[in-house]
Amino acid sequence: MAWTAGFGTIAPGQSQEWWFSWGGNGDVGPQLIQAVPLGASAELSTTEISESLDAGGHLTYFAVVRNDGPNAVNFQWRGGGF
Amino acid sequence: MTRFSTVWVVPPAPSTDSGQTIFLFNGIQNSGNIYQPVLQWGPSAAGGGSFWTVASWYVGANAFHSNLVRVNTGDTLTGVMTLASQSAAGFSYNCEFQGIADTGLPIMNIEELTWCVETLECYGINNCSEYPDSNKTAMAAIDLQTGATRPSIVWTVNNAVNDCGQHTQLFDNDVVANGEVDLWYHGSPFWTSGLATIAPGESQEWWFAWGGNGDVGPQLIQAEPLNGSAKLSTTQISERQDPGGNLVYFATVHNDGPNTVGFQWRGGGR
Repeated sequence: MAWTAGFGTIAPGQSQEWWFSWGGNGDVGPQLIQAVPLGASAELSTTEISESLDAGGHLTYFAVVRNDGPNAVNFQWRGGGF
Repeated sequence: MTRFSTVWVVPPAPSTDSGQTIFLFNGIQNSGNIYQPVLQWGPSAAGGGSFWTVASWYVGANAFHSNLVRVNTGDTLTGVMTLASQSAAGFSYNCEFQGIADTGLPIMNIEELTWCVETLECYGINNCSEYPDSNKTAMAAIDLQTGATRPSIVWTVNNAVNDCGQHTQLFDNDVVANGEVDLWYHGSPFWTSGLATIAPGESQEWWFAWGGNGDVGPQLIQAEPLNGSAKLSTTQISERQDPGGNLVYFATVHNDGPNTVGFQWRGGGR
């Protein structure tokens, strides 16, 4: 199921790590997570996707976005699983 | 065995109710009987109906059980069996759902119980929608004790019925009260592969191959930590074509956390 999350702004050359959490034990299977730029002349790379399991057994997902373009840009996250 | 416990969550009711019976339990067997704290949907010799109930059972040539107690979807159950005593007359045990009154069924002076199981057992199912309306039930926090020892557990999978994709996944062999066996009602929507450990700061590249020319389209591949307090990043996914034209997939995992952690791979395509 596809989902969208968050609205952020990222400066040129900056990287940001975001986390994504679901209910229950948080396990929603493998997730494709990508940042989509909301302004023109922008290039965003999603450089890393992680899964983190805490001591309570809850799974949290993380993704890192990097602004490879020349301008600050607004973005949101889009993702989905199986 | 001096104590065997498992924690699971009461699943959603089946979307189709045709009078089927569903049992979920951990249990221990001897040569002719099984001792088991049972979650039940539908009717049985103890009663029941189109709702979830729990009771403890000792079943062989004859069946003994505690009274059924209603439980609800989302309730967390802890099924516990403990050795109470042993003597020349035999072994005595207690079985109950921890914290749920009137679910206890003590038994005395029987043959020793030695064979542990985590089981989905069903009767009268003719359609896949007659299973609980979820992908799976995780039989979790498995804790098996033999006195002061927690022995290594080697589970054997027995997928006796698989017409709806039912299968068993040995999710975690942890022996420190954190083992998990997943009982799937349907086929997994994604594939799983490998069981390994990775040290803090370490990166590992794994390869994944399929039959034919190996081309299964674009694949999402992610490493999933299986122990708590861990963070694993999947840093790279690659496809390589060998000189024979076969496509092989690769993925690299990096342990970002402070501990060595067990992990598996999960993935899929469209």
